[in-house]
Amino acid sequence: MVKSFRTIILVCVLVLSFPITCKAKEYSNFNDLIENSKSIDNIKITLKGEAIGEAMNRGKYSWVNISDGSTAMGIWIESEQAKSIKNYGKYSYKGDIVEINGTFNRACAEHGGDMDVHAISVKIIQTGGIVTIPISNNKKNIALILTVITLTLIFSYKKSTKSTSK
Amino acid sequence: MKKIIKNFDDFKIINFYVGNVIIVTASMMLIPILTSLIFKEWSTLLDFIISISIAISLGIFLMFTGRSKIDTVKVQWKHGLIIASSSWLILTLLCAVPYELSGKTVSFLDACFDVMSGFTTTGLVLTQDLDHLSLGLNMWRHIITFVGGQGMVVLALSFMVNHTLGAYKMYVGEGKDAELVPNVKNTARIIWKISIVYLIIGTIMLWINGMFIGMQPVSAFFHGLFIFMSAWSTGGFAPMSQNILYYHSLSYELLTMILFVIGSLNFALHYAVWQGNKKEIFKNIETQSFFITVLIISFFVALKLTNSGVYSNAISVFRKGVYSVLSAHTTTGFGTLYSRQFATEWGDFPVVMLIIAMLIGGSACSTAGGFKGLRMGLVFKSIVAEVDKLLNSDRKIKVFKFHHIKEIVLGDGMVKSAYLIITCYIILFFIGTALGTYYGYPLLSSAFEAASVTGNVGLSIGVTGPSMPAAMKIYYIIAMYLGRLEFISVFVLIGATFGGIKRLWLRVLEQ
Amino acid sequence: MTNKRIISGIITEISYTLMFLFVLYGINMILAR
Repeated sequence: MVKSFRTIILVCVLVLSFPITCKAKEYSNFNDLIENSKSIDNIKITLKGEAIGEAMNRGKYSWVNISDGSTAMGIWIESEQAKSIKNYGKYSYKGDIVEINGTFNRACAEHGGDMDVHAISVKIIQTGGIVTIPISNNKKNIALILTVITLTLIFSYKKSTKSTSK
Repeated sequence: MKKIIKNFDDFKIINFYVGNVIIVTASMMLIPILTSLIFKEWSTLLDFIISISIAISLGIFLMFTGRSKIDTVKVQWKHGLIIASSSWLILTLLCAVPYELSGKTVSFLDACFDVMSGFTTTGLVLTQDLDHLSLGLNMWRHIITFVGGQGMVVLALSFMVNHTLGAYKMYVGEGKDAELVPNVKNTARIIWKISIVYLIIGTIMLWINGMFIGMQPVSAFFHGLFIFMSAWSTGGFAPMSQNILYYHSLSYELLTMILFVIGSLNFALHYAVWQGNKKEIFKNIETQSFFITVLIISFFVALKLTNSGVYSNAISVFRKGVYSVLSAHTTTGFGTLYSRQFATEWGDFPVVMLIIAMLIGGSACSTAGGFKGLRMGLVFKSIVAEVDKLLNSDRKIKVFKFHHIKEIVLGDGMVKSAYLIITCYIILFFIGTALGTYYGYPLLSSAFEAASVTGNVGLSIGVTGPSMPAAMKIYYIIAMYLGRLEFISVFVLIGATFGGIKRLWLRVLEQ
Repeated sequence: MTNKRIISGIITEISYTLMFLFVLYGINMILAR
């Protein structure tokens, strides 16, 4: 009786743990995607990154490239879903951090062999915005001093060439 | 090499012209300054103001020291070569300052690496966070590669007003030896004209295409401008970290292919075609050589990639395989793949094919690197000639010729020179490969990266990175430099430096 | 160099390059079936 009870518990644990392990693996380092591309080909994965550049609308679907900080990956999203991404990363701008769940393709046949992810769901984790880049006073002062020196040199050179003209 | 005796007058002449080249090249920093000003990138603006001030001040100082001698001392070959080689070195340091100040490079060495990579139109990148780079700095990166392609000296030549005496000598020091027109200044102007015309047309084509594929007008324009400058100069830099993969667009890739293939052609060929001589494209030994080797290499790469199942359809093989072959062979370095994919997905044979393509390279007197098609053609013809001589009787003397703009007799001197330079390239390649393996990188990866560096290509298999040993970074910088200047001018520089030091030492001993 | 020559030169170069690319494309398509 106890034995069969234990067996039932064990089976329940195994059955219930199955969907947990089946949940799409989350990637925050895209190098892992590239290095393991063959093993995760055509598998649903989750990845998280900052939207960079801009969304490129190609009709019903758009391309959004997201970056993990050093590597960027192309995401093929439905244009309607892409609209939810408001901020894109560039100089002094941080893009929205998005979490994408979708099918990873090592060499997408639909897209000429590109490594990409066809998104099923898009979730904004963190909105981006303007990033102010601080400028030290030192830099301002050095820039000013150097400009003055340079202009002085240019002026004195021009003057000396005029005085020794043929 | 004969001992070259230097006296102070030589020094002054060299200083004057080096200063001149520095000022003209550094003035290009005004463009990123303007860009940053318009787009309110204040930090970048200050970075460039500081950098341009340092450069121009140094340039003027050098010109001051040599000004008195420009009308009295005759500029000779050795001066020209030394001016070309030393300007490159000094400018590498000066042009790295904006990168360093931006904080996007891990070290000053990395900044110098990127500058040398730009000047030599290689295209390997150590700058970090490209996706958040300021427009000003991105403008600068791509200007460096555009200007580097044209040759820093040609740039200075075009704007030099009075001193035509030494002009030809400085020009040849740059590694471009086609004489388009007798007057060197006019040759320089024509090279610029061809490039500027294509700049306008190419940028517009890319701009329009960029908007078609979903980019906003302003960004489409800048991407178009940057990609053009990189394609035409067969550089390989791109404004985003994914390089050409960022665009996910066949049309964009096609445009880049057209532009970088045309950009890899010999300027003498451009000139001939623009003068109306269209047949030159077919008759020229370089285009013939290029056509044949590209065809053969593409054939084998496409075949292998298909058979090993790396790509599931033909268009993918074209957009990844053939594209990479063309990018490698023209020594451009644009990528539609992540670097590591060459190592993890392609298998050894296609990688070997790419290495060969990178080493052969593009046309002489162009922005391309490698052995050059002209030398491949000469080597091939000389082998045919030698075999012919062996098989035929002694009485027949057959004169072998090749066509490069005009019919030229296959002379022993030029064949010897071709073999010599190819040998130098191969040595450079082998040392680079060995160095990579010394630091633990796999053999094929080391060879791939070494070929990319030697041929000024820019494709990477993942070896190049900020964590690469400093020795390798330094070696790559030297190799990129030697490869671009085709060894001769650098050898003279070394010889002259040591000759000068020896003489100074003798002087000290006499006293 | 007249403007007409320049335009003609550019058209020539671009069209020959396109032809060359087309040849490569053709070979690729045949091989990659």
